[in-house]
Amino acid sequence: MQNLPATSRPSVWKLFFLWGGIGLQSFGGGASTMFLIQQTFIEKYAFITREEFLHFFSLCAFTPGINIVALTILIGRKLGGALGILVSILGLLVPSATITCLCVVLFAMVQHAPVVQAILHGVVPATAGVMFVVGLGFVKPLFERRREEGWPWFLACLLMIAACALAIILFNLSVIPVLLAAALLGIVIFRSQRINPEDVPPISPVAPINREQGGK
Amino acid sequence: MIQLFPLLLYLLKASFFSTGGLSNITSLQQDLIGRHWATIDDFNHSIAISQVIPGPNGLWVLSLGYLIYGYIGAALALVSVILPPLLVLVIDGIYREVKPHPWVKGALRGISLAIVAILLNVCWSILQRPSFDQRAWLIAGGAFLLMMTRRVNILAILGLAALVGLLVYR
Repeated sequence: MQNLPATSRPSVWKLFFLWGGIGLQSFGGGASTMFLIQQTFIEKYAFITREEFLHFFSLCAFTPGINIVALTILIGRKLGGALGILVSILGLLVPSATITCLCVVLFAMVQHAPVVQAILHGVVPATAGVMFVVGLGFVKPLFERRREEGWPWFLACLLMIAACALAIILFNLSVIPVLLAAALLGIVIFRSQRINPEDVPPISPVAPINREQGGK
Repeated sequence: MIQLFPLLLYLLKASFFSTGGLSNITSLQQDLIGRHWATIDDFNHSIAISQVIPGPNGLWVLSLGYLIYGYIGAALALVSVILPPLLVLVIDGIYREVKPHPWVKGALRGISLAIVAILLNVCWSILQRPSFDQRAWLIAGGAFLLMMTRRVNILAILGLAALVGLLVYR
């Protein structure tokens, strides 16, 4: 997970506008924000890989507050060090926050209007469709791993997804105990698995360089 | 009389003990309504606004801050939104230290599977809304298919959904 070398980093302004674009386009909350982050940084510019994104998001699940802000911090650091973090957060939040403040007075007056209610009726189901695509994005690495690991591991993964989903939906468990249980189960199930050589991070030569870059 | 420093502390506390943008609602309701610094309507308005404007859902708390104490309230809310997630840098540091142990990989793999389930649950909770009828299924399916083509901008998809809602539900 080393930061990008200075030469291949996007410029500060570009980073600001990329995040600003994500913030301003992400109608419908977290689902569309995450989709846009995937689309911009993984698919369009290839600044981060899908596996890296998943790794970042796993760390964010432990983090208090808005997960997407934590995700922005990690991606911002990778793309531009400490300055990258600052620029990414400002880019994501300032344009959206400004619009939020401008809308708050206006919206309170019109929100009960039938027209606004009708629009919400259309937008909310579409959000579900968007969220499902985001979920598929997370499942994709599983299918890629199936080729290396074989069907038993793949089925174990699917079973675990199903178990967690049922625990949340049927038994109304809150997210934190489910995440903790999944971590424990993951230790039990996946510890015995042989570690893929490419997954092991190159430790000695890269780490010191990485630390210098992170401090800039 | 609203005091700014305690207000900031309440906002930070709610953000710190939450995961995701909307789970700080309960804590803030207990603290702020209990002190008559905010009304339940302030909460409902703020949350409704966050549904229609761009940006992460968690920015609803900015609207709340504005309704309570104008632009200063919104600025305090912005601080409370940015500070707690910075802990991710500490968590990343810890992860880098303990990474070589196979059980860390196992734990993170388990968590990444649980996250898929949590995302599915978000879809499920939208499908469970009382207003979710057959027309809503068509809208959700249409949005899904348009997304899968990867050619249509998400803003265009949601705009189209808004238009459909306007035509169908009015």
